[in-house]
Amino acid sequence: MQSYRIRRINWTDLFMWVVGAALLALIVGGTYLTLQQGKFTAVQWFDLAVFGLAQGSVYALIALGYTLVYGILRMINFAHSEIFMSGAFIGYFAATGMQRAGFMQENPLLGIIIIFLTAMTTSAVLAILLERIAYRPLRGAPRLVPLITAIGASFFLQYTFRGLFGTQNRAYPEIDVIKGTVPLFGDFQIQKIQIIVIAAAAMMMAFLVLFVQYTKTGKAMRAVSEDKSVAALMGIDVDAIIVRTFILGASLAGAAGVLYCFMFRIVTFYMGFIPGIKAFTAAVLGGIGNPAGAMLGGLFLGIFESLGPTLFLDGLGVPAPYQLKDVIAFTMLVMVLIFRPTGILGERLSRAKA
Amino acid sequence: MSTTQNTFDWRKTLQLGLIGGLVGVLIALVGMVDEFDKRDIVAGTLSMGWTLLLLTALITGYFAASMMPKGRGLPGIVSAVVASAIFAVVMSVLAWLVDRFDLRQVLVNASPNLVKILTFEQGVPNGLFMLIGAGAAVGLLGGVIHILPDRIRKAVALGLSMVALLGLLQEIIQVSLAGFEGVSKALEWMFGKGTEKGLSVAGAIVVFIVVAAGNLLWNTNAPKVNAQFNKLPQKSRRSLRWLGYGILFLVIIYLPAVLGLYLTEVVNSTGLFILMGLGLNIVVGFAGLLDLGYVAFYAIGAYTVGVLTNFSGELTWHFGWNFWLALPVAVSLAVLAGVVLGVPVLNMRGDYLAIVTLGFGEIIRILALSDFLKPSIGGSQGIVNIPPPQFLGVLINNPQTLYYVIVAGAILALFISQRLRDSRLGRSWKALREDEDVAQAMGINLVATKLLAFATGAAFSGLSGSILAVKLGTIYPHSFALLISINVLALIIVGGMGSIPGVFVGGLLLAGMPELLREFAEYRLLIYGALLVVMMQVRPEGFWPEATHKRELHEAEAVKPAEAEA
Amino acid sequence: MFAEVFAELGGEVTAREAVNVGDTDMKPVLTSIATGAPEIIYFPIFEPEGNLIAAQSREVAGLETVILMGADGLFADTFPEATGSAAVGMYLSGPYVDVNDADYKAFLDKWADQIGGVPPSGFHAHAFDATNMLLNGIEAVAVVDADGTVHIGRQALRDYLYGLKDYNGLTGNLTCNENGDCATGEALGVFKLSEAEVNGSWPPPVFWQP
Repeated sequence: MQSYRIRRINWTDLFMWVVGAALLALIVGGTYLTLQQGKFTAVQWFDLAVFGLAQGSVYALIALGYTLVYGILRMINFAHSEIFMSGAFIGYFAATGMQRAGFMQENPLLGIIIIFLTAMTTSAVLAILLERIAYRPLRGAPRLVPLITAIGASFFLQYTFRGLFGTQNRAYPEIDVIKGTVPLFGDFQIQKIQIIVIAAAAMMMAFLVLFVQYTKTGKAMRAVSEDKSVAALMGIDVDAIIVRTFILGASLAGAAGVLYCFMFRIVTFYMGFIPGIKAFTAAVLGGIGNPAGAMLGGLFLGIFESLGPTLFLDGLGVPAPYQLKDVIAFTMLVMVLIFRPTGILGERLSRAKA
Repeated sequence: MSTTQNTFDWRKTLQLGLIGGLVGVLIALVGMVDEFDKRDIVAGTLSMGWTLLLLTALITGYFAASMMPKGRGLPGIVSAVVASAIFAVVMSVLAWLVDRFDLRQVLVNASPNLVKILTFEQGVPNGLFMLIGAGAAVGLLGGVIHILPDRIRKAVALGLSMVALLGLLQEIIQVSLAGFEGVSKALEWMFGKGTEKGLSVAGAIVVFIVVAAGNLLWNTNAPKVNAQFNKLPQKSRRSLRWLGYGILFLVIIYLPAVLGLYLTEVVNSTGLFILMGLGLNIVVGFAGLLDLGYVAFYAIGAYTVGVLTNFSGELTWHFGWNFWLALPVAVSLAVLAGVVLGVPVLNMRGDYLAIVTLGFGEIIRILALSDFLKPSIGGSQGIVNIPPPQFLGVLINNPQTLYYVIVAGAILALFISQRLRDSRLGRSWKALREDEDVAQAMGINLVATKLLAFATGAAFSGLSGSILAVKLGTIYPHSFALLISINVLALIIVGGMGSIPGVFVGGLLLAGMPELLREFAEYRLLIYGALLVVMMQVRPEGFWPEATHKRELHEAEAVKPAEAEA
Repeated sequence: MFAEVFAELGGEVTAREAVNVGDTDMKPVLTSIATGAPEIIYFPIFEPEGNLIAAQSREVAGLETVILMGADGLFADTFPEATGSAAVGMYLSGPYVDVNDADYKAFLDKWADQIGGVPPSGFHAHAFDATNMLLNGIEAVAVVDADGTVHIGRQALRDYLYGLKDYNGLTGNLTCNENGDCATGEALGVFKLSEAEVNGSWPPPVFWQP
């Protein structure tokens, strides 16, 4: 028995350590070669990092929705990416409507606030419906059941939007106040939009932390995620708290949708899928169920994606390294999960409760 | 609980009518009514678009009737009529809005044609009254159906769905059976001549009566027939069973000749999905390991065959093997990949496993697509010029010969699945599915058991991919999207997780039917999504469930009444 | 192909890159391209990736004024609108038919009549010709047998199309070669986008023609 155990651990662990070491060598070697070539200037590295930070903030906002719901229901809300998409989509109609009416040019700030409110409301309403219709009847069902429901709901929502609003490319109008750059020092400068995205995301995350930490609802949420039945005994309306959690996560996703579209402008019915997967990866990376982890994971993933292909692969002479961006992201996810199965900040979930 | 015993509940009726109306509006605005209207179920009388709306109204009425306390009386029927009428009112408001304002800038399907359909081409005010009247009438029908005894209701439902199915598949049935003299005459009567699509009115009525009556008769007499069969002596029972197998065998052999090229092609692609389904069924259904990157093995199988047999010389290496030599290599590589993926995820469960496998599938697809590996596996241009295999001098280059390869593969996979399910390993898998810790405590070697599940699943998928490569003759990275994994997963869930016959049912429903109804491909995923959601609420065990799994899923319901009493 | 001919004609290729369908962040790839200080970026890809490349290239240091050029995949009325100011001054290669040609004029009139507006994407005239050639072919080779079934011989149809000579289509006088290539190779042009297209005007004026 004893010898059997030792042999088993050695075999699989050894394999993983070898793979890990090889990847690490690749990363270090690639980085060294790239930096040695000196092809990129400091300004360019800085731009990439800031861009990654902006992208990562959006991931983090979406990831919070995954993580909040997971913390309470222990389910992956696969349809969260569609909630993100719906906010961006309806926000688009608000934005173009106001642009055409000339409102956007006169009151840009108020206009932007209205776009955010529209998007967040849409997302929240959709999330409430989703929870009520699809998820609530499944409380207590085996774990695969809600997961599959979520996958189904995701497809349903995506193609409903496609059916309702068509397949053509739509783009947010160009809003003059958020265009242009802010000079820092020397050649260094930052796009206004990136400052806005990072600042807005930081604000919302701060709000979330305070909300969860200090409000009554936030405390109830933490209690429910700890133990539903005990929370119910303490007089907490569990269903109501779950709905509020969905609303909270969805509003953040809706806001993330608008920020995303301020950066990229294009709106399509399938736009939620890739950011959704990335944000989920970020949530797992940071430790799912842990809001701080989701934020950290999102920022980490954003920067990694932005710098990674250039830093690791360019020096190795790999053609078109940016195509392999997602390979890097997913490989990193697998590696983190192998050597730290609960994510960067996670509790020991994957083994214990999952 | 309810204060209104035996009286009419206005609030609930209104609620249901509005919900039904919203569903109807959604169906209309998504474009399904308009699109499906092009297809007739009963020629010239009933289009599929209308069927969709009628069905919504019918279901609304049915539920309204069942919501009433002591619903099997007058209040139930009144409620059904009112609810369906409310549904129709909502629809007519939609028709009026669409008619009045041009909403197409935002809602692309709010077209004049939609108004035409909704108002029976009668224009706005008149058509709307007709619409509301029709709604009420259908509601009446829904209420009446609710009153009928279970037995008859089931027969009616089956009859109606058979009519819909035959109407939809008319073209295919007629074309494929045209060769048989006597049959085609009967079909002509049933379906109408030439250009008309769907059943003829008389045909629809006959189909309905035959199916409904047949179902009733069967349900009343089935126990007797079964008893009769069991009374037979052992020997003749066995010979009867063998006779059944014999007939099945002959059907399988002669199927492609009867079906013709197009339908055989449909059967083939369904077969490939079933093959993959059998594999994923082992991983997810038996062992409970949720794998969302299953398409990776399919890709590895296809690419291995592609690289090894390709003869055009665009790649850096040149093997030029024949298919039968490449096939075992492809399957082994898929198995190897299964094990290599299996090792890192040994310690992960549930959701973590899902995302890591999903990532693995994407990694494989992106690598296949990348310029980085373009010299070896073709990049985004894929691999072209994969030669068709030869078997005993017969060139397997058309659907009708390829069919036999796929059938052979499916039978092999079926046999292996069935034997594995009942083996020691199969029982270990199920133990793993139920509770990993307990399974380990019982002395099951988790590492070996999990890796064997991944490896077996990967083997079937690799086999399926290899056949795909020669079926298409070319492979592109785009054929291996995440959607395939989801598709296969949906297939085994709809069929019934862990159930082998369920894979076949799921394959026919989710891979075969969409192939036949290609013109509605746009709505395929929408219907999939809705189907998965509804399925998980109503029948999470699938259409053809495995016995244990069903018991497990309904455990809670079995416990609940007991709790309530206590 | 493009790169080889370009180099043959004396151009220098500073970078060749690739992006995936569904990518949205083009900054890293554009930054890498910027290190070669190019004068022109040619990206013969589709929407929406093309829009993102065009828009984001203006935000990458070193590429603010680079000349952008796309191909027929981006030759659609939604492209300039969805790209915004970054599309101004951009070149697109695409199919071109002289609007003064009487047949083409008649075609456009019919389009405006039945569908409204102008054709939103480039290959309408080519598609029109191809469809008509195919339909002519079917008419020419189809055989109706005794019980009314129509047979269209695959090889016969192919022979008909490959042997087609001097078909007078919208895109010119078409003759097919032994590979089944029938286009004249002349119904093409390079277009330049301006502020007008961003604001919804379509098609853009032709800039160069073979």
